[in-house]
Amino acid sequence: MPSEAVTDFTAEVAEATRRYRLCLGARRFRGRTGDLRGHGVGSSQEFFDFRDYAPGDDLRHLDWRGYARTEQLRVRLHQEEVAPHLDLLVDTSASMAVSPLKERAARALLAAVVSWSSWQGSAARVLALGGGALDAEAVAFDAPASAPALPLSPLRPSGVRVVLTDGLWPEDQSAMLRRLLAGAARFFLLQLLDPAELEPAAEGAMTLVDVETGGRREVQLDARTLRGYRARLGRLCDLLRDTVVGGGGTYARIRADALLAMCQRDLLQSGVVEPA
Amino acid sequence: MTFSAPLGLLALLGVPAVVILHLYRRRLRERRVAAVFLFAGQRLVTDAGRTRTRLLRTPSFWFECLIALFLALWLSGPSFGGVAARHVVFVLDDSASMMAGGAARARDAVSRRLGELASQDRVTVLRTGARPEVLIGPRALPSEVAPALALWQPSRPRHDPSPALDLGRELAAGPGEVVFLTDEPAPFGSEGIEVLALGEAAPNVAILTAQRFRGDGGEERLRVRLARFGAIFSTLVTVSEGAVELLRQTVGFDGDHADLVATLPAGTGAIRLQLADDALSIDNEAWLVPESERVVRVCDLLPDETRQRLALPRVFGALSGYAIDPDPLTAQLLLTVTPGHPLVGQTEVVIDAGEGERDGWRGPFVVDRGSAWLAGVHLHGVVWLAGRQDPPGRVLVAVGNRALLTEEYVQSGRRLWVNLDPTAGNVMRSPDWPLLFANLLEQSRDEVPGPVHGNVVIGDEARYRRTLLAGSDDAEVWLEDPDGGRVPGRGGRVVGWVVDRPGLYRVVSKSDRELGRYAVRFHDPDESDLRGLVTATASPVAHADSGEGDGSLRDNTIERRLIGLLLLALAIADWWVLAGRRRG
Repeated sequence: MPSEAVTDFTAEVAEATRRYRLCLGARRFRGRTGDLRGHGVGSSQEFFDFRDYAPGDDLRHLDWRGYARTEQLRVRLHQEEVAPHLDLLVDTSASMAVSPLKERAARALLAAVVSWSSWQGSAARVLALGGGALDAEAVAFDAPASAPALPLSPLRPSGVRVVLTDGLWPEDQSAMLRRLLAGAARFFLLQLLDPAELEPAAEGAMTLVDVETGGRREVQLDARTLRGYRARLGRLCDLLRDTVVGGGGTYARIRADALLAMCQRDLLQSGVVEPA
Repeated sequence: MTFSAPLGLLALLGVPAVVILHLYRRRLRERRVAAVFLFAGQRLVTDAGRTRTRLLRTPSFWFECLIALFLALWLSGPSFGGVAARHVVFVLDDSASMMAGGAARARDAVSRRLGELASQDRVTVLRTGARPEVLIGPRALPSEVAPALALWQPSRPRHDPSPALDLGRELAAGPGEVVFLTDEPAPFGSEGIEVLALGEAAPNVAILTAQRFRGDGGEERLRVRLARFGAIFSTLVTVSEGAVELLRQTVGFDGDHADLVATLPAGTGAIRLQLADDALSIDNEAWLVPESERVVRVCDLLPDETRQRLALPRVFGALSGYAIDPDPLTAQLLLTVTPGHPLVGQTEVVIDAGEGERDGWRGPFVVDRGSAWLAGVHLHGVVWLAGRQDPPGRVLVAVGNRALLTEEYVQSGRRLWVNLDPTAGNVMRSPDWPLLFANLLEQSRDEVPGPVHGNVVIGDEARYRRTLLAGSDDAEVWLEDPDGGRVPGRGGRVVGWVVDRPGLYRVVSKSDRELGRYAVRFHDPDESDLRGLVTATASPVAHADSGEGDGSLRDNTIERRLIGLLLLALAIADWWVLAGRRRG
């Protein structure tokens, strides 16, 4: 069980839900009845198409003006309005909890996405990358070291997919990301990084221990080493962003912080959320 | 940090030690990270698996280097100013008369002065001599003086103390004090020096001379001359060989001197003369060894006919102290008609008139009187038949424009050319002829290996002449003093040791074989005369320059405390850094 220190963000989530919502845009989704335009015909106010009248059709949808001009009974069809499916794919590797700040930020983002989804009318489904469904409030960041993979449960088409990860994968995962992008009406990749991962300090010589593999490396954390680190991290982030944006998704690099700060600084700027 | 502060120099090794420890250290702080693969910087541990790592310039490293550096500074006794510490230079009169109570009083005086010094003060002790010696120091701690001072035994003949006093002034350099401890009035040139005369006048008897003469019958005669300095009218003389007492006789003084003549049994070895106790003991005893008979080895390579014509059997029959040696390598004198290759110390006499016609010369002969070979040689009434070819070398005897006798230095030896045809003339029958060979023998006697003189006095050099033949036993020799201590001999053919203590010395070879003996005794009537010793104190004239000289030491207590505090602060900082690392 996570400690209370990393889960005490209920008020922040409520405030974030009040201030922001997921920026879903004008895509066509699939899902339960809701407020967003769906793929099919529905009962929204927005005109979709005409078709010939068939017995049983609601007479209120007859296009009387067209009948006056053409003496043909035609029915006005309206756009379906749905609340889209939302699949929240969480990277449960130990690197997501490398520091209490990062773990708390990950849990807060997870809760916020679930809350935004709920507020926007759809129930989010939390899945682990390479695993099954999770309880959003009891996610354990303790997956063994392995390459990220698709969830065991099939993803719902034309839904919203949010991937929460730090993206610190040694190998190129573009192929896996493209498979996640495929069939999604809206795709967000939230790359959460600890401040120490973004800007490590030159603290001299130390032994670095990988939280996932346990691998050790003795390095001199000096300016030269950190320059190389920042260059490699930049290339890795750019690869993630290019893959996501190239597939039509939205990429956000988030600096672990308080939830509202992350929303205002990173999520809002990158178009993941918009003011409610 | 200098060689005068060896502890500081030694502690400086701490700095490289810290560097080495950090080079080989492996304990680093650990940090859990999400992506080690992103840190692909220079690795600390080499791929070859060696334990040496790249030097980490951590705060701990700098702290520890500074601690080692300041520790060395602290041990070296730094001084940035402050009150000058005292530097006292004691100059001890090393003359033998100081043994008449002056040395003991000098030790007491030095001890009293040392008691007045502070711990940071410095002391230097010199002893006089033709070449002054630093007995303790320079700039030793006061606590180092007593052990070395207890071993001091003055035994030198009279000498000028000025070189030691000048050296004392140089070492004192400015505000330092120079104290001269002697037993006589302040000498000339002791201005600015505190002179403590600690002598007390006393009567004394001394052995002035002691000699052994070899008699015709093989026995030896001992002749001793005693001198009295003061109101002593007789003394007991004891002569002994080892534990055997050969003579015990009371000698009365009829004037200032007394003589004793005694006969020693044939074959007597080293003897010891001992007088009755008086104020000065060093001149009351003397050792004498029999002077070794230095036999010259003569190698006669002349043809029999030539030898007979030269009348050599008659000549050598009249001489003594030689032995015929058929081996030309071990001989000191070689007689030949053809030049050879004389070795070191050898004299080769080539008697040859050469080829061709002869001239008979009746004089006048020109003789080099400076040559030791021709001492007493006049050649009056001599008819010399010589060849017309002048021999090489420096001319010693000439007639007209003809060289009759020349000397030549070849390789390491000498050659005497004798342009003489023995078939005619009367040179061989003249009295100069055996005189010439007597001189040759005496000159060659100096080249006989062994002790040059068996009986020497303190301050002189005990010399030993080696053979320098390949494989000889005297290639390396040592002088063994009466206590068994050995000093190696250094030099060429003749090695020497300056002896400074009375007693019997031995020269031993590499195989521990005794090659010779020396009897060393004290001899200096001026030092034996204790009537002029005084007790007095002469204070120095105040120094015009009483400021702080360059060579002065300073009270560095404050500096040492400051550096100590700095060391403590650095140690705490290092501990804090290391503790923080363990926590983090």
